[in-house]
Amino acid sequence: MSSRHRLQSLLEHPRIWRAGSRDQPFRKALGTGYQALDQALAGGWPAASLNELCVDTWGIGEFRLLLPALRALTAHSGAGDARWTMLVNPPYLPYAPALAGAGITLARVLVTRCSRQRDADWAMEQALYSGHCAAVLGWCEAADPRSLRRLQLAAEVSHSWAVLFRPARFRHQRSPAMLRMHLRPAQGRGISVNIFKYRGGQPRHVILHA
Amino acid sequence: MARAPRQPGLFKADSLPPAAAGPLCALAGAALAVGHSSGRRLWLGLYVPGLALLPDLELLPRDPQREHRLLSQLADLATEFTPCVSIVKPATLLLEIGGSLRLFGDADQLRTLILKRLRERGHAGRAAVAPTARAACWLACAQTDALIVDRAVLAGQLGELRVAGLPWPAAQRRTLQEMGVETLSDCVRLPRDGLTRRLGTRLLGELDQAYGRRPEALDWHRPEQHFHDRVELAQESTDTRQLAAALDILVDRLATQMRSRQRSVRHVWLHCEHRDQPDTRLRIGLLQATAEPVRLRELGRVHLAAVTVPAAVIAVSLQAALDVALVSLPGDLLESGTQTAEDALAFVERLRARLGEESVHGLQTRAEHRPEHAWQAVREPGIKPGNGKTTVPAAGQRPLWMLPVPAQLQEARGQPVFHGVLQLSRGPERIETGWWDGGDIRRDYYVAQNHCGMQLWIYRDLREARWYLHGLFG
Repeated sequence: MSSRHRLQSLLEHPRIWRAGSRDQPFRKALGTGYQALDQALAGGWPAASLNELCVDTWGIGEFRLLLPALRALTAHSGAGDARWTMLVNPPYLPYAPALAGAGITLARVLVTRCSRQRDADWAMEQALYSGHCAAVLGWCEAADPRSLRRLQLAAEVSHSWAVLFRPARFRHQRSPAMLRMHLRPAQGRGISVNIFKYRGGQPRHVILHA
Repeated sequence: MARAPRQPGLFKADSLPPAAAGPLCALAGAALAVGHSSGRRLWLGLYVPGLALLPDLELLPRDPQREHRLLSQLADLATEFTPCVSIVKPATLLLEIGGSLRLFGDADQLRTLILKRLRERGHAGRAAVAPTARAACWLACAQTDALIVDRAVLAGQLGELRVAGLPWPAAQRRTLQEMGVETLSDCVRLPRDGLTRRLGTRLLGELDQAYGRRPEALDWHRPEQHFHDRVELAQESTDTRQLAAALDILVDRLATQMRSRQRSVRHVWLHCEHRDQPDTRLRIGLLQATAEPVRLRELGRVHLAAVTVPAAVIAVSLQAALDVALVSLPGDLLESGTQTAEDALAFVERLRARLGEESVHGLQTRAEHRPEHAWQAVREPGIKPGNGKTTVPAAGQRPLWMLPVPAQLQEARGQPVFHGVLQLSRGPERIETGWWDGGDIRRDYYVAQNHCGMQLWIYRDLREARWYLHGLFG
């Protein structure tokens, strides 16, 4: 019984993909830069999927959390590889000196502003499908489940990393995202990460210290 | 020669079969030819009786054009298994499978696979395998399910075929039967000159071809560069979900064609046919040519969801011009390195085309001490490397988010307030500059924190003696 239980827990590991199952595509993990978070996510951010980050108010450290991964993505800009990191409707002005200070290659960053949510959805989907974006980060107040599903599909097909920041009041809404987490500030400059949905993984709670 | 060599495809032992369009198919064709210098040709005759089933009994007039269209659609389907497909009217396809055996296992497995694919298309068929095309065709038409791989046993098995089952004119078959000739072996046993007189040179030539004594010229099927297929709904419907199911089928067929011909599409037309009204036409345009069924399906569903059909739909048809060569398949072996800077910029242009010129921009730093001037939006992202002279602040020194315009903060007992009283945790950092252009500032910047856990970048304007919020550490 215990060996069977061990086998079961092994098979539940998110990095193990069983040939028979359809809904677990090969996962490309993108290191988060935080050891505890890497462990909780079994390797890192699930690239090639939609990640949903819910926060109570913008600016509690949710963007900072992604910086190590974005640094790695934009650093890959060799001669042949020119993939963008696109920010769609960020809530404030992304401040170039701070991004550069965090080690992000600014030449690979695009900022897109759309007045209508429909256009923002379209832009994110296009960016994912185009294959020209390594990461697409979007901020939105409200998103209907259909556009979320389309984003998840687009991310899967294009092997791009899609991140959607949403107000925490939407966290009870159904969502097809591979990963959903609720971010809250913790002691000091820390941040508490509550992973409440991770397809193929377990709900986890991690506190990161900056 | 009993038969004049016809264009385009005269089969000779040393000639290449004309490959379907596209580099990969050409390669496959070349490989086939190489395989044949040592190996053998093997033919699969596919008889689809449903297309011409009991022609005398049909109440509706037969539509030879429709039959032909169906047959060429099936031939398109067959190109998935071999580039060499030939149509023998009225209801038979000939597939050269000798070159495909290594890929698909053996002839029997391949035959099972082909019949399965045919059934999925809603057709029932019989298939026979033989070393000559004519023999395969006859054996299939006679519904024998023969599987002859070895040329040595061809004559024996072919001999058992009844003359009555041959696709020959009724007069000649009757002549033979009146002579007491029941099977092909009886037929070939007859003196040749007498047989020539009775059957004519054409049928004798066919007999020779079946036995492999004479080469056969075949017209190879060339897949059209235009895709047109149609699915009739089992039930008339206005429900777009049912239409979407039909769309899936059509897109799958289109994807098969695109893959086998190495083509992609830039736009497709979807027609919803009604009984008494003109079709509802939907144009599904793509910004970039694609051969990706998932994307087409998803786009098609979106278009279907947006449309309201005026009447019940009886059939759905899909048309597309396969006019764009497929450059790279999704799921490249080498995942990156194929994106050029030009492509990446073209993508930006496309976004601007829809969202407006100002909506997409890049970022750059500037050598400037005033925080609001230390960066700029650039119209052409990615081209110019950042100004090398700027000094980049250390991580954490500047906020990730800036407010477009500093927001004046409320004060409570001299303390700035933003979602609660702010605790100053670092500072001051005095920035006093810009006197030369009239935009001079005199500020003390602090890092502050409120009880929500927000890290803010605020300053005290020393000239106005007021607190302002300028950024968030995000």
